[in-house]
Amino acid sequence: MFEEEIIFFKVEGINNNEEALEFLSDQLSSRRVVTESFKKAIIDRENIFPTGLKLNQYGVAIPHADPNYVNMNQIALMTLADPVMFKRMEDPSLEVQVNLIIVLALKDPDSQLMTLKALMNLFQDKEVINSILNFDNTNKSIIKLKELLNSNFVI
Amino acid sequence: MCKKILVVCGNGIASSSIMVSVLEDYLKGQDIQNVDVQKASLMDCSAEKFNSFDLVVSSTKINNPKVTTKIIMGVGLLTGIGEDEVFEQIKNEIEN
Repeated sequence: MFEEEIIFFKVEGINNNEEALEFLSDQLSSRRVVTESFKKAIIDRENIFPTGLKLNQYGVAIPHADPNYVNMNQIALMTLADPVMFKRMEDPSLEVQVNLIIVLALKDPDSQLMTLKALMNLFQDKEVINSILNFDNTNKSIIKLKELLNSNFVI
Repeated sequence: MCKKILVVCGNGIASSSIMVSVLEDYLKGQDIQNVDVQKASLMDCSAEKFNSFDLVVSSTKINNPKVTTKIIMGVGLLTGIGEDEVFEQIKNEIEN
């Protein structure tokens, strides 16, 4: 699910959730993981059905769009230098500050259930989230992230 | 009698799939049988559809006054936070 290594740490210059979605959608479509319509679809979906999740000490967003816009299953991950606000999934009238955004490009969601569940389990471990938020943009961090995902059965 | 539970999320793509899987694992672990768990996207659901189920577990608020079926907020099944409380509520509803 991370084969394309669409992984960015401590991204700067992202001012709101839409810019974050645009950034990751562009990365996904330039690699032909998703179609060009994906960007609009994911932004529209996020506005109607937000995906911000408030965890114990962190905010995470897991935007996703209709499988019709997806060519292959892939996960794109980004941490932000400065948090942006996302509306919360369980109650869109509330917001949560988000530093970690994981875009799920799912062509065939049911086949990826174990990965998604493992990812959710991972979010509950504050030390893991802390490590991810502290990774910087080096190859070493990407290797470490993969180790972390691997040891938690995400990949 | 078989109880019918509808698990819904905004997209009906990822979140409800995870929630269904977590719920089914729980029911199995509790040896609770005769429960039919289905999933759907909120967009595809009419009040009639909701009302044809015994219980709705949703990842998000459902603001539809026509829905008379009990709705349980189930985002805890996704995040794991408050998961036990969600299980407890669902179990109570099933056993009622």
